[in-house]
Amino acid sequence: MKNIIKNKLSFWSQSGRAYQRAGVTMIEMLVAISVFIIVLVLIIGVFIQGLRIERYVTALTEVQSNASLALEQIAREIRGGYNFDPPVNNGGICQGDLGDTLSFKRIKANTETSVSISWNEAANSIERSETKNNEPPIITLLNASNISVNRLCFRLNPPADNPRTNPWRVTLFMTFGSTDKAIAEKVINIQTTVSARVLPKEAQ
Amino acid sequence: MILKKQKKKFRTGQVMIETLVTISVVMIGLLGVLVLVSRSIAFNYDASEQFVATYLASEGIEVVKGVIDENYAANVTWDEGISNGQYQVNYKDDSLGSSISGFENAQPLNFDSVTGIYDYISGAPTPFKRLVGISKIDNGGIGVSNEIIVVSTVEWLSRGATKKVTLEDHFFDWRKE
Repeated sequence: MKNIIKNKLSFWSQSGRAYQRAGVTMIEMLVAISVFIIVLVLIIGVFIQGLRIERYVTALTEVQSNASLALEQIAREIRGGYNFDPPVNNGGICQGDLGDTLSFKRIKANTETSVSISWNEAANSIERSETKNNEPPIITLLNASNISVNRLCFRLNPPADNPRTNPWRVTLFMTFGSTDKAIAEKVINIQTTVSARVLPKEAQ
Repeated sequence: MILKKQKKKFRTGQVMIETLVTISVVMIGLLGVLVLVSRSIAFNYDASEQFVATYLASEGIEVVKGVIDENYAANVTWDEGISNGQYQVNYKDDSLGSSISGFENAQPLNFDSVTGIYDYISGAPTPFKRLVGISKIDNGGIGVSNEIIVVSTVEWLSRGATKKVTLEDHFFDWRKE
């Protein structure tokens, strides 16, 4: 009995240490878990942010390379074109002597081809239409689906000149962005001028 | 017993230092990722500015080409109205106007967000300044210039640094009969 009490007492007296040891482990564990959670939350936060920004940057880069490809295709058509008509306006955004559809002629495979490049205001896309030998027009889309063309206006310099002696010079006004809603307001406004290599007097 | 206690105390300190080192290493790693992410956005912005500037610079060259082509159309000397100097050209100009010396005297291009036009008339100023430099060369000393070097430069201030895009084109009197 004495032994038991002694043991018990010694348990209690030793329990101070035992309790202390257990408590240290507990606090250590709590601290460890909380530090781990805080670091984990930070890492996950940075990771998610990084992923989101990576998605935006990829989308913006794609938009830029896509737009430059479309612009280069249009510029190439204009450089090789002749008999340009003053741009026609089908939508409401291009104003004054600006129009959203540019029509001209080109020689393709020794055949005179009517080419028309138009901006579809409703679909935010650029369409190219080609007609030759009274065949039905071939319509191709010049931009990819992930690019939203918010403006494409053409201006022929000088606007009205008949019979034409002045060289054909077309200025393009283009505003474009991504179709991704989160970065839709990050638009790029481009303006460039391209002149035809053929002069009006050489085209006749 | 005293030694044991000291050893234990020492161990606790070691765990603490280990934790601190671990956290700081993780933090440095995270900081690296954060810096990378924020730089990628800034670089993308730089790329879009350069994109706009390149097209504006190529427009400068096309305006000069337009003047040369108009001279051919009007059957006058191919370099009429084109003299050495730096010019500020507008997209619908048919002549070069008066010479301007240096970017410090150049006017920034304005952008009209309604019409989408970059010019010197309407809209809000953009950081872009464009100057087209012309130097005429008389190859072979024949008394007339038979080569025009056009250097179109667009300069802009971006995040405290001056950036520029320079395009150069050489025109020759190849249409001369």
